[in-house]
Amino acid sequence: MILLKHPSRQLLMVSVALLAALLLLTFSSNPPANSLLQRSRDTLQEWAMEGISPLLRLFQTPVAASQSLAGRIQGMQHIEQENHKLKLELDRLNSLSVRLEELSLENQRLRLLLGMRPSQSTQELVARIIGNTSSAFARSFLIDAGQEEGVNNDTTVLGISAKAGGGLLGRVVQSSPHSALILALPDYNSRIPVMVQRSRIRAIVSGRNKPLLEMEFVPKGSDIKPGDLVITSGVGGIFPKGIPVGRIHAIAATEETGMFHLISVKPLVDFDRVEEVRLLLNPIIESASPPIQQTSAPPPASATSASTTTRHSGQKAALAPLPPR
Amino acid sequence: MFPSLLIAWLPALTLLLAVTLQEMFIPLEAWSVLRPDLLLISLSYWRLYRPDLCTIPLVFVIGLLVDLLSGSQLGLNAFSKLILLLLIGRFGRRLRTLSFLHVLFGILLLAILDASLHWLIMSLIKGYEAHWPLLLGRPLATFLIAPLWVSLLIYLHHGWLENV
Repeated sequence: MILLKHPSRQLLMVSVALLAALLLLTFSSNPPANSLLQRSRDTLQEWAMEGISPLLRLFQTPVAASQSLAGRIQGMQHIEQENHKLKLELDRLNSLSVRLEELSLENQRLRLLLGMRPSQSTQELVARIIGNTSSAFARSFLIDAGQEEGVNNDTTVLGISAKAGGGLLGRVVQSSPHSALILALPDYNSRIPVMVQRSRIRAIVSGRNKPLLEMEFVPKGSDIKPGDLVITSGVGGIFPKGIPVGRIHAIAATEETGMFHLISVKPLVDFDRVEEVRLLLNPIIESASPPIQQTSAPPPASATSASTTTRHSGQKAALAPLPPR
Repeated sequence: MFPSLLIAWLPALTLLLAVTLQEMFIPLEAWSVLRPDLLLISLSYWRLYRPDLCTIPLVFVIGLLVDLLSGSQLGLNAFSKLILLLLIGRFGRRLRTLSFLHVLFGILLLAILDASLHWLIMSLIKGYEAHWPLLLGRPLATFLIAPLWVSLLIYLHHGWLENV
C-alpha cells in the first residue's frame, strides 16, 4: 500500500527490476560453463523444477488417466485384428532376436580378436513427460525422473510412443532429484552430430524451432537422397552412435547456400504426441559376454551393438552396473 | 477459514497455479500451438484490481520462474511481464472504468505485445526466428480462455479478498 501511495517509489522499483531483468538477459546469453551466474542459474533451475514437478505430476494424473481410457476404448475396437498382427510380428521378431544375439556375440568375439574396445551397454529408464515448457523460442519437456533415478545432464532421451514414433527426442540439460528438463531436437540450442545411414556422410542436425530440423555442412554433390535415414554419429561423446534421428525431407542447393546443401530432416518423433520417453543412462563398458537381464522387447534401432536393461522411473532400484558374465 | 496472512498470498498462489497449468503436458498438437498464457491473464487481473497484492518483486520472481522452467533466456519473461505491468499501471485506471469486453481486448493486446517483445528480444540477442503459429496462437488462446479464468479470479477476489 505504501508503494501505491508513492508512485515515484513504485516507478523506481519497476526500473530496478527492469534493469535486473535486462542484465540477466544480457549476461545469461552465453555465460562461461563454471561461472557464478551459470552455477546460480543451475541451482535455481533445480529448485524451480523440484518445486513445480509435484504439482505437475498431480495435474498430469487425470490427463494420463483420460488418455489411457481413450486409448483403451480405441484399442478395443480393433483388438482382435491387432492381436493377430502382433502375433505375426512377435514370431518374426523372435527369429530376429536369436539372430541378433548370435551376431552380437560374433561381433564381440571379432572385436576381441581385432583388439578393439569392447562395446558399451546401456541401462534404460522409462519416464513420463509431465510438463511441456515449450514456447515460441524454446522446445523443452519436463519428465518425472531425476538424479535419484540416475538421470544426469546430457543423458540421451528417446521417444517411445507407438503413435508418436521412436527415435531421438533430445538430451537432458538440467536435472533435479526427482525431475529433469529435456532439450528437444527442434530447440534452437540443439546441435546433434549425425550421419546418413546409407552413405555414411557426416553432418550436424540443428533445431530451428520448427517442425523440421536442418542438416548443416553437407557439401554439394554429396550422396544424399530424400527418405535417407539420419542417425547419430557418436561424434562429440554425448549421444551414442546409431540412434535414429529422422529422415531426409527435402534437399535444396542454390547459389545462396554456398558450397553446402540446404537439407531439411523430418524427425522420427512427433514432439506434440510423445507421452513417455526412454532414457539411456550412463553407458557401462561391457565385457565379452552379454548382460544377465535383457529386455524381452527387441532392441531399438538405436541399440546397434549395445545391449539394454529397462526399468520404469517409478522403480527405485539402485543403479548398479550390470555384472559381466 | 484461512488466516488473513495466507489469504493475502492468494494472488501469488493463483500466479503459481497459472504457471503450473500452462506448463502442463497434454499430448495434443493443438495444445502446443493454442496454449493460453494464464499467467498473463492473472497478472493483468491482479494488477488492475488488487495491485497491492501483486507486487513488482512478485512479478519479477514469477517471470524468472517461467524462464527457469522453460530453459529459455533468463530474464525474458521477467522483462516482458514488467513492461506489461508498466502499461497496466499507465492505462489501468481507464481500463477499470470500461466494460469486461474491453478488458478482454486489453488482455489480447497485452498478450500480443508480450509475444512481440519475446520475438524482438530473442531475435536481437540470439538471432532466432520465431515459430509463428506458436507465437500467434498463444495470444489467441489467451483471449479465448480469458473469460473463464477471469471468472475464477473474480470469484476468489470477491469471495476471499474483499476484507483483506
